[in-house]
Amino acid sequence: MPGVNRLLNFSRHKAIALSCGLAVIAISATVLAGWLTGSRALTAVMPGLIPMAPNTAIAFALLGTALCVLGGGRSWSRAVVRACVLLTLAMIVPRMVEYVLGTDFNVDSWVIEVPHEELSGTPVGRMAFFTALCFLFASIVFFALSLPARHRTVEALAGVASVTLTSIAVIFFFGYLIGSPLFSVGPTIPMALNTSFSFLLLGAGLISSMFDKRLLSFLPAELDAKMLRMHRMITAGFGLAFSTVLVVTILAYENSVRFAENSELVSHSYQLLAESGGLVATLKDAETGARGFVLSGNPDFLEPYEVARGRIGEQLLALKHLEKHHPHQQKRIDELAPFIEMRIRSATELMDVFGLNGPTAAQKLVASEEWKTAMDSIETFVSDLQEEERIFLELRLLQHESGLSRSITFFSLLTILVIILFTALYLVIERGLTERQRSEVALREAAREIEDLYHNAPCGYHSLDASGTFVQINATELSWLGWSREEVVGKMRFLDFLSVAGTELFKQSFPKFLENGSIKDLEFEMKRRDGSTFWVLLSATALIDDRGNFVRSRSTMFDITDKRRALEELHLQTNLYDTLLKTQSNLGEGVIMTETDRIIFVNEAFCRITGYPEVEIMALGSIFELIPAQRRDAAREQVTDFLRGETVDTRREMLIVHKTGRLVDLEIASEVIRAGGPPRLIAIVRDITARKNAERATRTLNASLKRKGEELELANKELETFSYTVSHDLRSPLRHIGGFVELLQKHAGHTIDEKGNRYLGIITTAAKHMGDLIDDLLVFSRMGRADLMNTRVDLTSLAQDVIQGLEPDTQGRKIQWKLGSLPEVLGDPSMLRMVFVNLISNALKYTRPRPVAVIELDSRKEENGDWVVWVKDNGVGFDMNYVHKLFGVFQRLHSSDEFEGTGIGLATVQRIMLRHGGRVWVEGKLGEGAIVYCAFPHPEEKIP
Amino acid sequence: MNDLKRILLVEDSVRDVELTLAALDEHNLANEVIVARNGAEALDYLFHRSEFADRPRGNPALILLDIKMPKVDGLELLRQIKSDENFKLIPVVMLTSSREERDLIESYRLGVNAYVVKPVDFDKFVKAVSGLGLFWAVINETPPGSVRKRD
Repeated sequence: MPGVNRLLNFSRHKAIALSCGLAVIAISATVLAGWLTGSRALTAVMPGLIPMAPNTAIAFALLGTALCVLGGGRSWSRAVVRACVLLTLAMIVPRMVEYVLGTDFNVDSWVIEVPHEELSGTPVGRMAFFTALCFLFASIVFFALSLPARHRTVEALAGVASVTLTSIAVIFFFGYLIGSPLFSVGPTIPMALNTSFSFLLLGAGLISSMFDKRLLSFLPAELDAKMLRMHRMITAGFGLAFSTVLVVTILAYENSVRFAENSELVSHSYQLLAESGGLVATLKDAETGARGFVLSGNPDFLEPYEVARGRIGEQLLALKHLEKHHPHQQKRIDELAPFIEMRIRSATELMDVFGLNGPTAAQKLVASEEWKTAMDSIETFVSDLQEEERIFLELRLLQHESGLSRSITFFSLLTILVIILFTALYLVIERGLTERQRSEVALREAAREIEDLYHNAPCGYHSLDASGTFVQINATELSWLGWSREEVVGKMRFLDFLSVAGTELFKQSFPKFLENGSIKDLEFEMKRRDGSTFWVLLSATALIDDRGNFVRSRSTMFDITDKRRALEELHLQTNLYDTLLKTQSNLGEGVIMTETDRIIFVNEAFCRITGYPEVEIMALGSIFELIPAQRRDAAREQVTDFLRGETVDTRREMLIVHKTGRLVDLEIASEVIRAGGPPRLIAIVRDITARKNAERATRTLNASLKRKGEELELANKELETFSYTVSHDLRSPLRHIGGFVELLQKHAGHTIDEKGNRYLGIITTAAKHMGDLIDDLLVFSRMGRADLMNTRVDLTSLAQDVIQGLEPDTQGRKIQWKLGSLPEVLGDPSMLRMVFVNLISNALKYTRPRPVAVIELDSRKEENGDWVVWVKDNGVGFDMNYVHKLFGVFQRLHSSDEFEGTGIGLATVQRIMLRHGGRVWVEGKLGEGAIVYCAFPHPEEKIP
Repeated sequence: MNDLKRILLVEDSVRDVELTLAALDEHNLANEVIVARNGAEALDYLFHRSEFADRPRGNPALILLDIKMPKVDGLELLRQIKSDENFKLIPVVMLTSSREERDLIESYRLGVNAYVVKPVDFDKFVKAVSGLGLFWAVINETPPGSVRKRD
């Protein structure tokens, strides 16, 4: 949970630890400097206070360094910490041994020589027992913190140790603050003020470091910031309460020890008083005994004297022993001893005097001044001694009393403090518990929510252990697989659900996953219970415990069967599309796709058509680059309209510029594809340059044909004018010739001789022939120009009609008509009549030499649907060598003398047949007759 | 013979005029023939203009028209005659060398009364012209206002 991590604010804890470490180093450096320079002021906080021992300062320097580097968390920093701890232990352990064994290795002077001094009865420069104990605790904590991975117990131990050492420091520090009740008492040397302060700093730094990471590592991650704050408050509160209770306990102990000491002192004083009184009494007894003996001479009196003499030494010794802690009093006792000695000796002297010199001398001696003075001075001594002891006693009693009342106040205050602390703690814990309960409810709800989400999410979730066996699986995934939870969890492996290919992939990826801690987007084919398969997309992360061991996987998978199917479909379509494009390309049809006008695809054929390699076409960018510059705007407009859907002409022709610069005609079929994004234009193009060129050629040809036609029409007009002129102007002179010859004959016929009349006759005939020629020519010409009617014409009846019309010419001749059935054709009746007139006239004309003329008219239908009509005669025929001359105007195969005629008839027939879309040809043999064939085209394809 | 009706012959060719007159003369029809040498002269005659200013009143009973003439040709003259209220009732006969269809059609379209092609053969010519003269000048009843010559 990154949120909680942020709340813990690691850097602040590190900063606290670092500051504490640096402060500790600064203090220890100051103290060491004081010891090395002999400046006692630097070693203690103020004069009169006990200084920090040099070894203590060195240990602080080491542990302060350790505290500074502790936050580093790297292997070298751990090494530094351990080295500092080991060095510290090297000084602490021997000192502890000293304390335990009660011996003295002079450990404190191992590094810096410590002077043999005392301050108020305390030896200076020696490490206190509690100091050593605190260092031991600190060492344990540092060592625990330097371990890379720790057990919870170790951490708890470290926590307790750090709180304890801080508490001890607090006790001593408090002691100084409340007027040093612990200063001079206690079983051992007291901790210096700067030492206790340094321990406070060290403890604060360690606790801060532990907050940094250690203590929190066993807190449930779900704890929110509030719980965390509460936890800290509880820890701090307990620490404080614990310290306070510890202070109270130690103070109570100290107090009772002091009380006992005081009581002992008081009783000692009483004993002393009694003892000293006893001594004086004993002396007096001895004195009295001696006197009594001297006065009475009775040896019985000597008995108390002897007793006193025996006891006095004993009593003096006892007194001296009692005052052994009071050198002053002892001195006094020592001073008293010679007097007592002398007194005892005086008594012995008295005995001796009595024995030698008699009682009088002895009495005299007893009564002497010297004797009296000795006794007096002893009494004075003892009374002085007693006086002083009495003052002592009084002082002690006073002291005892005030200490007692102060202790009561102090204990009361501390007890109240403890009560307050515990009450506060209770409240905090109570609130914490409520809070916790509430958050547990919330957590349970959240957990239920999460569980519901877990099971019913639209994706599969499961967890595998290191062997790949299911530890957890959600309902969705189970429903996919078709198995029940009981069958799967703990019993089946993920592998059991995989296809062959999936198995391979799993075998490869699972070890990697265990190593790297995550995999992403692997595709597996999975088997359902019924044997069908489906595809999933799987991602997983590994859950790792505190010691870095793999716990289980947390895998998510999505059913991507549909997606894969769609992909396959897409793949198929892409293939199809590619194949189509290729086929199209093979056909020579170019394909181009644009996004608006930007070219995004071209096929090979398109490249061929335009002459550009694909890369260059793509580099052109816009499709309009391919269009001739002067047509670009129009094309752009067209394409824009087309893309907008305003025009729908999907086929059009277009001109583009080939890479070589020549123009290429394209036929384009295009469509717009709209599928989101800018519209796409797909166009299939075909190079139609060849066709267009052909079209252009045709157009040119047509134009020239039209011109020719116009020229022809002009020529026809001219011909018409010519014909008109001929018909009007040529005939006039002929008429005049004929007319005036006639008039001449009428006028002067009788005067002209026969020969002259013959000549006039020839002139008339010639003029008439000329008139016929002109008339036939005019008909021929008219046949070519006259508009064609197009109606059904029954050729049989037409032929009969013509034969009938020619009857006057056949008078007196034997003619055998063979009229077959003739078809009905489409055509101009008057023109077709002219055809039959000409053909039948000719047949009649050329059969004239025959006694019986046989003229046959018949027809047949050709395979192609054409009708062929022929006129056959048994006339003079012709030589086929000259057949080509038959249809020429004025061309004749016979002289006018043999057969009259103008030589225009067949030409006219041919012209009429041609105008009907048919044709005419002749077959003949000289002397054996001729056949003229006329072919009429099949109705469907006739009449131009 | 009866009253001969006046005939207006419009012909540019003197020879044709002579031949025509000769043919008409065969049947004594030549006397009341007025010859105009072209369309313009014919109009002058009809409108009493220039040399015909003093001519007797009345319209001719028949107009014989050649087509091809200088100045105003036969078809143009026909058009003017047939579009004039005073003259449109006068029978007009085309007497021409042209067999051309377009002339034929155009003439009938303009309202010609008959169309005769001059035959090359003189006999036929005589027959045709005299026939015409007989029919139009003698047999046919002329519309009112035509001038008759009394013998």
